[in-house]
Amino acid sequence: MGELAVMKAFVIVILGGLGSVPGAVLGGLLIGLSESVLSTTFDPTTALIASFAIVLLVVIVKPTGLMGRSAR
Amino acid sequence: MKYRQTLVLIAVAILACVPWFWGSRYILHIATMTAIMIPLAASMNLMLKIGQLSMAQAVFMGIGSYTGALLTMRLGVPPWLSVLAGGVLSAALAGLAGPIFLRVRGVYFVLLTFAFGQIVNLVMQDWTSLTGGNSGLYGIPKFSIFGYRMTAIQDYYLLALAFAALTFFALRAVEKSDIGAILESLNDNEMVSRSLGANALSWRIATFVVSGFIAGISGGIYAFYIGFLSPDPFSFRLLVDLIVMNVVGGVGTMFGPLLGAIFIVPLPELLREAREYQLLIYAGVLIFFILFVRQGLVSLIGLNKRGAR
Repeated sequence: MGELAVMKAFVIVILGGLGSVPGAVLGGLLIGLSESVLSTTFDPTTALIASFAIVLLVVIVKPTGLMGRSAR
Repeated sequence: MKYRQTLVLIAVAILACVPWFWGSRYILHIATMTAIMIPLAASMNLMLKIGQLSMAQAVFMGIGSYTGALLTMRLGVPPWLSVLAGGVLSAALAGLAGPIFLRVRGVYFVLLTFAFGQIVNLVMQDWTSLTGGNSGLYGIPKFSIFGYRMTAIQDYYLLALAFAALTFFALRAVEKSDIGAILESLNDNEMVSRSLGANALSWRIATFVVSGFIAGISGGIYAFYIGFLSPDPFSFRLLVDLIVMNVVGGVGTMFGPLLGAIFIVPLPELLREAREYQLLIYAGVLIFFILFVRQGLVSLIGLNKRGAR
């Protein structure tokens, strides 16, 4: 119940950067946009895969997220 | 300390024999599922040993089971070979992802493996022409080896048990060897192990590959035992179960996942009568262990003391 919403919130927070409110806003905007564009052009599962792929890339390239403070 | 370990092993061996004589199909099913879960929990324990919580184990199991089932169904590969191929494919994937994933540590590694697992699981759901998607993959043939076709549930129990025992003793041997010491040092103090000439990243990747292989093989055994596959059993729920097994059992030694799996897999069945409270009691057990039995079941039996090796 509500699993998908929690998962998306999780994805957004990681993307924006843990502990950063502006990051969460930015992440939400990005994920929301990419999901709605990809759901319309392809299908919802592709959109979800893309969201996780974005997170994967962000964590590899910049683990602290888009607007997170550096860990150390 | 040694005699306690022997005692526990004897107890587990006796427990493993009980379903044979009981003979009830239901008990045998639970016992088989337990035997399949032990190597999986052990593979997660192996990653925890180097201080990394891998959320990819469920998906390695999924890859192993789909590879095993599909190779036999579509290409007519002998089952034992396709189970092995499933393990090798999981290991190969771990080998490919490892160099990228294992550069980061702690919570970021958890996030990476989690996202990776979700992607693979979604692909399993979406690639319907190959995996059958959410409606599942039917008609997986029975497992056969050396011309013997396994039809009875006892055969599968024996197979799963053999693999569980093999994994347990192999990982025990590794744990007690020099390699075990290196792995432990990677968690405790990476700088020290580096200064002694251990290539930290390579050891981490090797551990990841081995844990992927183990999870893949148990997935293959699961596929041939159940005879029906869908992406659902390899989702987040399985990961939670595996983590719970390691927390309840104890992370320090291989006895942890062993005892954890034996305790946790049959638990929902014991609580079957109280269906509404099943999750509640499950959560209660977990909270109790985290709060009061930090080192897990192994500490209760006194198996986790340092120098016990």
